[in-house]
Amino acid sequence: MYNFLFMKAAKVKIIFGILAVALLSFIFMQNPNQSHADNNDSQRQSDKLIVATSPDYPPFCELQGDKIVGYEPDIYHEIANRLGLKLEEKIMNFDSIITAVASGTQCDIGMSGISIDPEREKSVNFSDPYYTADLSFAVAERSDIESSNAKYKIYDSGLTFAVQSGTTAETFVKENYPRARCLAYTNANDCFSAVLADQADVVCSTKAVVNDMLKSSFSNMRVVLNVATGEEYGIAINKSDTTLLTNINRVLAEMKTDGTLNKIASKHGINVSGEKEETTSLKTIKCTAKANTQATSDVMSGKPTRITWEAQTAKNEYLNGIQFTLPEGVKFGVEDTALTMLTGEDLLTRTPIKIKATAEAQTIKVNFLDPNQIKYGAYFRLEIYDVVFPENYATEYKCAATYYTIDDVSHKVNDMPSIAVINPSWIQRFAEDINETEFVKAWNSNTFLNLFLNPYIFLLSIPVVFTGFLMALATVLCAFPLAIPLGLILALMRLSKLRVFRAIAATYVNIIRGTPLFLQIYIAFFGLPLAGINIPNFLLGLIVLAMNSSAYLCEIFRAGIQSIPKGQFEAARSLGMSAQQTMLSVVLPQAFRVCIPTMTSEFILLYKDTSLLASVGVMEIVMFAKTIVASTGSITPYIVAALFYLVITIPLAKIVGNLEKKFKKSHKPTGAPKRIMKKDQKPDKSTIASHEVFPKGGIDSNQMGSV
Amino acid sequence: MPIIEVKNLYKKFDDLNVLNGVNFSVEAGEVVVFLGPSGSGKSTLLRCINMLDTPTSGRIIFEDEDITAKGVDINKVRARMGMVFQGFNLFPHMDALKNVMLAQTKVLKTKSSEAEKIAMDLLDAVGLADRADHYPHQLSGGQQQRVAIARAVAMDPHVMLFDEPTSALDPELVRDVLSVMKGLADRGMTMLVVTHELDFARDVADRVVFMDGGKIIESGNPSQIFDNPQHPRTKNFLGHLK
Repeated sequence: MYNFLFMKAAKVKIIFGILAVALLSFIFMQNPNQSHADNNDSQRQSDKLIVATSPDYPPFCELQGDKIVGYEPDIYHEIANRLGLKLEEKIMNFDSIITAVASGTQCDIGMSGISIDPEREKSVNFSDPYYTADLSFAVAERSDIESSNAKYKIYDSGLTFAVQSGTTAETFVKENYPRARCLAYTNANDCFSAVLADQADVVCSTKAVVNDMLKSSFSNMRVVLNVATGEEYGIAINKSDTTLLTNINRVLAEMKTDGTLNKIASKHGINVSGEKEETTSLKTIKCTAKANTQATSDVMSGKPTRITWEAQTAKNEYLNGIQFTLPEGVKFGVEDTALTMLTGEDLLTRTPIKIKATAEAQTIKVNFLDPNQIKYGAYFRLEIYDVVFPENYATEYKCAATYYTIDDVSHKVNDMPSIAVINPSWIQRFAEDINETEFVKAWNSNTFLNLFLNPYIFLLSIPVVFTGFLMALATVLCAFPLAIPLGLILALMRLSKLRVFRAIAATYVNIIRGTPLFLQIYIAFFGLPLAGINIPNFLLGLIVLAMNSSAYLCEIFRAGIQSIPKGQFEAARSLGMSAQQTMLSVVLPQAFRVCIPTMTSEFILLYKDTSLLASVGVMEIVMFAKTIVASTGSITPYIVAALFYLVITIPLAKIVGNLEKKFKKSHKPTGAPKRIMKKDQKPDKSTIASHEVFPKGGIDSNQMGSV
Repeated sequence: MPIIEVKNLYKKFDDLNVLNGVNFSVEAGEVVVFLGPSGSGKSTLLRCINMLDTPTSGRIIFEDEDITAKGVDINKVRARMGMVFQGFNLFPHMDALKNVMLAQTKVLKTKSSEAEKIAMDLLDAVGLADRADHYPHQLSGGQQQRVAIARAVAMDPHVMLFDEPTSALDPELVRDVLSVMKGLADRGMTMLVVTHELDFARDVADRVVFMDGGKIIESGNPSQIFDNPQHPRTKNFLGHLK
C-alpha cells in the first residue's frame, strides 16, 4: 500500500554522493598531513613523532590545563628534539596504549609508565629502561593496616586491591595474591579515591606515583609497604620500526651519560633508582614551589607558597652551612625556615635539624646549631615559607644556593632547576578573594559542601571545563546535522518497496540501537586503526556519534512519515504528482514538523553522549573535569561539568515542551472530523449558487433529526 | 465515443470481492451519480478509475487509452482526472492558495505567477477568495472541501471524481459544497459522483447508477430510478431513505 514511499534509487544515490563529497572534503580540511599513516615503513619519512600517553599519574605524566607535563613528557620532548622530529601527543587510556603502538597507525611510540614485560614484548619493542620503579601499597589513614603488620595483612586473602588497569601493579597483585580481590580502574586517581570511598582496602601503584598522590590530593592516606619488584619502565615502539628503536636507545644512552635524564628526574622529584652515582659535589634532587592553586596545579604569583629544595651531599662533603638566595622581587619569611634530614630505605624517616636562619637582602643564611648532622652523602630538605612571587610578572624563577663544607670552603650549587610561576587570571583572583571570606570558610567547614561545592574550586573549574564545553558543543553541532540526512535516507530505505533496501536499513538500525554507544566508540577508535583506517580523534568521534544518532533518527523519521495520513499521499497522487514530488512537497515537510520535538530530544541525548568520547581522548567536558578532580580530590568540578550539560539540556527540554504544545494546537489533521452538531453554529453565508436548488431533507438532515 | 469506459472490472481485497465485474461508460459532459448501500463498491470503483486502487482484473479506457496497461504514465493520466475526497485531504502545512497552486507548478510546470492567478480565480469561484491565506485548520469543513474542489479543478481536468464529498460535513455546510458542484456541472464538466445526497442526484445527475454487492444493479435517468425503480434492491434502498 505504501508504494508511494519508495524513493527512486537515483535520488538516493545523489544524496549519498553529496554526503560523501562533503565528508571527504571535511576530512581533508581537517587533516592535511594525515597521509603518512598509509604505511608503517614510510612513517619515519615524515618528520613527526607521535607519542601516546595517559597523563594521569603525576609526577611522571599529568595534565595541567591542556598541557601534558611531567617526567616522561620532558624525556620525549628531549628525544624528539635530539632526533629532529616534530612531536605530537595523543592522549589515551593506559590500557589502550600498547594496542595503539602495536597497530602503528595511531602513534609511533607509547610512553606512560609502561613496564617492560615479556607479554608486552610480544606485541611491541621496548627501549632500554629509563626508570626503575618499585611498588608501593597505601591505605586510608583510618585503616587498621600498619607498616608493622602490612606484610602479613596484605598477604591475607580478604583484602580488596585498587590498581590501574593494565599496569604492572595489577599483574603483580594478581600473581602474588591470588585470593585477593582486584579492582581495576582506568585512572590512577580513581584507585586512590576508591580506597577513600571504602571500595577497596589497599591501593597498589608505582612508588613515585603513590608518593606524589599522597603528597598532593590524598594526604589522608599512608604508605604501609614497599615492594622491590625491579619493575622497569621502557618506551614502547612499534615492532616494524627498528630504526626508531635504535635511535631512541642511542638518545637515551646519551641523556644518561650527559646527566640530562637525572636533571629531568630531579626536576620532578623522582629518585632514579639504579642510577645512584658517586657524586663528588652536592647534588640537587629538586627545587620546587608548592602549587598554591587548587583547580590547576600551578604556582601563582601574589600568593604565599613554599619553596622546597632537596639535595644530597657528596660522599666526601660534610655540610656546615647553607645560603639560599631567592630571585630579586620575591618576598619570603625567614622564621619558619626548616631543614630536615631524610633517611631510611624510602627516605621517609625525617629528622629535623636545629638551625638558625637569618635573612640578608634576598639571601637566607642557614647556620647549624648542632654540628655533625648533615653527614657524608646525607639527603636533606630545606623549606622556606611565605614565599610570594611578584605579581604581573609570570616567568621562570631560578634560585641560587651556596653551601659551606666543614673546612669552610664555599661551593656554589650549579644544577638548580627553575620554578615556573604564572599570573592569576581575574577569575582566579576573584576565587582567591572570596576563599578568604568568613562565609566561604564556614561553608567549607561542612564536609559535604566542601566536597561537592567548594566555591574556590567551582570558580576555577569554570574556565577549564568551558574549553571542554566548546568541544562538546562543536562535536554535537557537527554530528547532528550529519545524522539528519543519514537518518532520513535510512528511514526512506526502511519504507522502500525494495526488500534489499529494507533489509540493509533494518540491519543497520538494529545493530546500532542494539549495542552500547560506548562499545561502538571503542570499536571505531581501536578497531579502525588496526584495519589501517586512520581518522583524527575529533572527526572519528563525531562520525561515530552521527552514525549512532542516525539509527535513532531513522526510527523517528519513519514514525513521522507513517504518522502522515494516507489521504495526504492519495490527494497528492490524485493530482498527478509523482511519488518523489509527493514525498518532497507533501509528506516530508509535514513529517519533519511532527518529528521536531523527538528530534530535539535526540539532540539532547547526543549532546550528553559526547561525554563518552572522554574515554578515547577527545578533550570534552568530562575529560577536563576529571583532570581537576584528579588534582584536587574534590567532586566540585563534576558539578561544574553537570552545569555545563544542563545549560544546554534544560532550555532545549523546555523548547521541546513548548513545541509539542504548539504543535498540538495548530496541526490538527485535516481528515474528516467526526460529524458533530454544534449548537450555535451559524450557516455559512458564502454561498455562490442558489441553495433553493438543494432543499433541506437530504440523507444527513433526516438522520440527524432536525436542522 | 465515451470519455471513460469500464470493462469487466474486478477488485479483490485479500479474500473480499469488492467489485464483481463492473461495466459502464461515461460520455463527455455527463454527470453520473453512484448510489448504493455501504460496501457496495461505489468508492472502490471511483478509486480504481484513477488507479488509486489497482484493479484485480478488467480494463479502464480513459480518452482512448487503456490506463490499466503496463507502462502507462499514471501521473499524466491522473493530472487529467480530478478527485475530491470525503476527508478533503488538504495539505495542512500550506495555506489555501498554496494548496491550489502546488500541483499546477509541480505537475503542469505552470509559472508561479500564472498558477497564483488561476488559484485566486478558482478560490473566488468557490467563494473563498478572502480565505486564500488561511491554513486548513483555520477553515470550516465546508470551506476546506471547496478549497479541495478548487485544487482539483486547477489542474484543468477532463473528468472529476467525487468520493462522498459531503459525508463528513455538518448538514448546514453541505449546501455550499453542493452548489459549487452544481456550478461545475452547469459548466459542462464530466462528473462521477458517489453521494448519499438524493436531491443533488435528482436535480443535477444525467444518470443515476445503483450499485450493490460490487455490481451495477440498475441505471437510468434520475426520474426512472427514483420514481420507478425496477430492481427490488433499488426499491428497498430508496424505500429506506424515504
